[in-house]
Amino acid sequence: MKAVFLKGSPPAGRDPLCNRAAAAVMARAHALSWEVKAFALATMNIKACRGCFSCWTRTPGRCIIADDDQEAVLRAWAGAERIILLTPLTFGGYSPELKKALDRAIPALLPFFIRINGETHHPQRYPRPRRLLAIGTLKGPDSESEEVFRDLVGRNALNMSDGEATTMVFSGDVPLSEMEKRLGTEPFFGGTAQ
Amino acid sequence: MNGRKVLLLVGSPRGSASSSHALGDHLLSLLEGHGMATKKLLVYPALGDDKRMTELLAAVDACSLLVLAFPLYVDQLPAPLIDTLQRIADRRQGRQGEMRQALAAIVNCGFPETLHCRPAAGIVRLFAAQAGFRFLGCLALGMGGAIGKRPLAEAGGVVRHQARALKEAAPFIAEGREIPLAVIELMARPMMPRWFYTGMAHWGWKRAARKHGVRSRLGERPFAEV
Ligand SMILES: Cc1cc2nc3c(=O)[nH]c(=O)nc-3n(C[C@H](O)[C@H](O)[C@H](O)COP(=O)(O)O)c2cc1C
Repeated sequence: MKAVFLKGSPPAGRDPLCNRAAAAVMARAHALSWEVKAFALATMNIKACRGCFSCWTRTPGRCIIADDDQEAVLRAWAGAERIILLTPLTFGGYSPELKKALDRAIPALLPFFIRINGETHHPQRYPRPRRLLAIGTLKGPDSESEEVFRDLVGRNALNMSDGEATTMVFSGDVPLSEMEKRLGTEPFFGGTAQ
Repeated sequence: MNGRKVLLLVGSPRGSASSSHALGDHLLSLLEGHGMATKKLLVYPALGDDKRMTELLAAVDACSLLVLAFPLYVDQLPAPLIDTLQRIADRRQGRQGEMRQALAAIVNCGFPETLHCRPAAGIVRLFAAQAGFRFLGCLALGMGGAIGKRPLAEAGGVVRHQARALKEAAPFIAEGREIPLAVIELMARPMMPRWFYTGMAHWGWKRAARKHGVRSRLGERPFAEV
């Protein structure tokens, strides 16, 4: 199983919970012998999307910004059957670090419109059964942020995977062993939890 | 002038050539008519430029009303806007309960359906709460591509619902009152039949691709594994 793991933790380990969750994901993926391409986004030079749509109508599938690190993410994305996103919840959404890479991932879509569940979406440029897991971390319980996060991930799954989304939120000081246990029960990682 | 100042932050990388700008700028001129002093800043050029960011943060501190106008990117706010909001919130730590300043937002998305904007509206609401702004509401619309870079006043009948919604929202926003649901629903109304919008978009992409000599290569997969 090929997976792409986008780690949207803030720079220099400012979010220990995020780092712990990253370790738990890697341990789980290793146990399943997955081939994981992991990206520590805060350490990478990824410029902001210019919103020019060159990746659709000028250089199909490639971003016009060629002098930064994003192409490696796109290459991994193209072959991945599992997408794993990790982020500290930022107003219920993703961190700027994670979002920068995601904004620049639209070359992995085709410009044309298709209908999914009565809504308009774009087809995948690299179609394959692809599932999405998003893990969010919170300093303490915050049900409103969690609600927005789940809504966002559900919508992302319609746009970037085969529509199935798994959302997990770790809040407070969750130990590594507990994280690994919870990940292990997720169907995304071959577990049987509902 | 009633002494109230509105600051518009435009969160599109296309700056003043964006639908976000057309919508936000139109609201600004309406608020001017309600006696507010206006100021407009682009978010993108401020990131990576300390002087501009300092100016932006100071302008946020000085306004009585903050308006965010942005495009939907991957179901939420564009990365540079999240980054900027985080800086604003960090600076305002401890002011959560103050709510002396108000915040309203306009989000436009490229798909025909407005519902895609729902998570973005939630994020903006949580930002307002965490940074201590009184949240007046988020005006969301689909078919944003139909606006383009022209001023809203020049976009004609196609934006009639949106122009009316902004006009009806303006007195509420100017007085710091919540935007009524009926106005939010009016803003969300489709500008044209869905089939027409998607047909126009398909035509536009093909035309652009032809111009760049890649009409037959639109579906290319440069990173496919062989
Ligand atoms: C990187 C990127 C991601 C986008 N993601 C979405 C999306 O998730 N849903 C949607 O409806 N439109 C999406 N769009 C389309 C824009 O929201 C749309 O083109 C909008 O009208 C741009 O507004 P602006 O001119 O203010 O930048 C995306 C565009 C870009 C460049």
